[in-house]
Amino acid sequence: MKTLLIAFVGLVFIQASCTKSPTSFIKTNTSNKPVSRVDDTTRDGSIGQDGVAAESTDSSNGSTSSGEPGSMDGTSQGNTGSELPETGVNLTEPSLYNNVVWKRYRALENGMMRALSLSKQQLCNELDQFSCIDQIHLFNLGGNDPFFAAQGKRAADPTILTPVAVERLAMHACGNRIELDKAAGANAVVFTGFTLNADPIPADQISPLVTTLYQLFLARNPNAEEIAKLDAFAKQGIGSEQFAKTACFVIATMYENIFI
Amino acid sequence: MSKKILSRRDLLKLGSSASLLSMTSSLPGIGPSLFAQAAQKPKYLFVIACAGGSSILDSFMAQTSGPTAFGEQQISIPQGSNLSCVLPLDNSIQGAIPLGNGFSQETFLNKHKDDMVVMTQEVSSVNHVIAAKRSISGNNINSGRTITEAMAMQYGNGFTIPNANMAGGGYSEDGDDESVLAAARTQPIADPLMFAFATSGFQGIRGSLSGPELEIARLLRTDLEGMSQNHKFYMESSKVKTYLSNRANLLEALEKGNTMSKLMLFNDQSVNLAEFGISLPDSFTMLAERFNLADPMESKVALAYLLAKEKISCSVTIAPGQDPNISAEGSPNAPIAFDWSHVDHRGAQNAMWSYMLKSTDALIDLLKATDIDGDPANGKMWDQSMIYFATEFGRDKVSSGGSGHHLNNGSLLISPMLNGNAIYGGVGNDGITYGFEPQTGIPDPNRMMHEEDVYSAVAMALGIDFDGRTDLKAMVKGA
Repeated sequence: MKTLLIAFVGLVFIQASCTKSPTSFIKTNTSNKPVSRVDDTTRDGSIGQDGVAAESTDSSNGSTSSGEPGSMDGTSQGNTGSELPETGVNLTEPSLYNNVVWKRYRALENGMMRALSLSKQQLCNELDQFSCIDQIHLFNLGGNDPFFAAQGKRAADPTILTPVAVERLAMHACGNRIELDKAAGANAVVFTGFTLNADPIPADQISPLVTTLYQLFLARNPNAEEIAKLDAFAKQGIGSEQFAKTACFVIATMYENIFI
Repeated sequence: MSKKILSRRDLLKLGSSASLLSMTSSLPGIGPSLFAQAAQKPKYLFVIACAGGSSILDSFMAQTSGPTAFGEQQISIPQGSNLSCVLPLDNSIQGAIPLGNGFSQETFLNKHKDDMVVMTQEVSSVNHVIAAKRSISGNNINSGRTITEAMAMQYGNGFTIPNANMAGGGYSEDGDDESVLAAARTQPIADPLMFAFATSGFQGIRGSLSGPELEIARLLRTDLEGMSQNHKFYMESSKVKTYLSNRANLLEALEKGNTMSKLMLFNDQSVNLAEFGISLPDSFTMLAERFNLADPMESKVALAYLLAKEKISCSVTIAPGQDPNISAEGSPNAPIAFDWSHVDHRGAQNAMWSYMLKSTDALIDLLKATDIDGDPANGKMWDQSMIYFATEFGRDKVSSGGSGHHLNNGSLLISPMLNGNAIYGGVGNDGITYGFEPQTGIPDPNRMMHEEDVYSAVAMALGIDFDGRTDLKAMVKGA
């Protein structure tokens, strides 16, 4: 009986985890505390030592198909990230260990898909047909192809061309999401409440968009300095779509999103 | 949509993006000034990896006696040649699929004998991966630095991806010398036709930010990264520093050189490249005539030529695929490359040598016709080139059936920097090769050459010096 009870509780827990919205951290973070992207456990390298491990970890957060978009109303979080996460780690000093873990292809793919509510097929395809992740940029994103390319090993660290692959992935993905949201109009799922054809971008739409993108890609709120920087950039007379594309690309390719 | 383009100055007014950029430019990794030579004539190394174990006794050291003997009608010694070769045989895969492209070793020998050298050797491993790595590291004679890394360190100045690698297994592994710069490490290339897409962050993407817009976005990103708590915590990480350094330096160099259009070899009729803003290299038609770009090996060699010509890479490693490219006519290459010798020694060796030599012949022709950096005053690329046919090991000394791995073998080197049309070493009645006296080149049945000596020969011809290098004066012109 005791065994059955434990099994039942376990099943309920697993189901709850699996049905959790990909962006539910945004919905559930109502405590006015900044979101900590990784805790001490993950910082030590338990996530993403290789693509498979990272994939399974990411996948546990749910699939994009069931995901809801992040709220454009970043102000509902009520925090600009000036407080430190409650991790017990002093983030104001350089790490003594610097054992960052490279977020390899599958983890990066899952993160991008979840952030932009794109399917694997929608995410990134060179010439509209060749998968960026599984074919064209696999090795530079940390994968390998033992069967067709005789690559028995993955790169131990990012290659000199990894930054290029990351940028292409983000450029494809951000552009695809924007096109989909433009076509969806009122049913847009990421750039919601946002007039993509406005020129210049309305001032009141800058901060919410920035906050949402930080939450979606980096799982934290931007700090005041970061918002101010992007706000100043937007007020140079940039149109909404260009700002959306630029901000999406910039935040998605920050190295904070490449190493954990 | 507004297309206002901010100037670099506009953005700098907004903050301090220069701070992180200046930091990254002084970091380890890519940085022309970090390479050994600031200004010298470039040299080029092409490592043709004969994966699976190519036997020198089945090519340019073919014998008419002993356990590996060919019939008199099967081999040729062209007039004026000191090397022998094997003519195309009637090969097949298990009697069912015609095997081989028909390219004759004799054709190759006639054209290039004056630059060709066979150097006997006995290697130290018959394990594929270990032996392959030793073939490029010289069994660690140069502190663990592979010959391609040494090449990149010596001549990588001005090359954006000095050490390109289109091989696998031990041929694509980094060496064990930790002092090698990140930029001189192996950069694998899986698909030569599509590699161009790895050279730009925005070209060929529909609706992408434009080049100037992207430049501004990158500066903005640098600023934002400097503002994050994450940066304060991990700014000292060597992985992060190297990543940022590569990002800051390499992207700009590749994009400003319009590298994508210089290297694009994908030209499928089903795709209109112009729709994506992509063009083909000026030399594409010529390349398509010289190489069958649908063949993986030939497309790799075509890309190798472009990488060298466009000053992207000074060292390129190429290996054949493991799959037979079967068509209605048969297959030009054997399954599992030279290692098909386990099943059919003669057929695998004969077909694979032809397979490797056909595209190499085209490569040499192109290098002979191409001016260094497009300037006739610099001379031809071939004058500064070395082609090293690396392989893991030899094969059992047999003339029929299958063969196992054997330590004893020889290597083929081709370069105008060598005293060519020569075999350095010899072969006994038992089919076992022996070495030579390094200063004079006189064969010495009591001496064996090893991976260290082959590495030294390649390095010496290319002007790469290191402690412990074998002085192979006999082999190198002007030594």
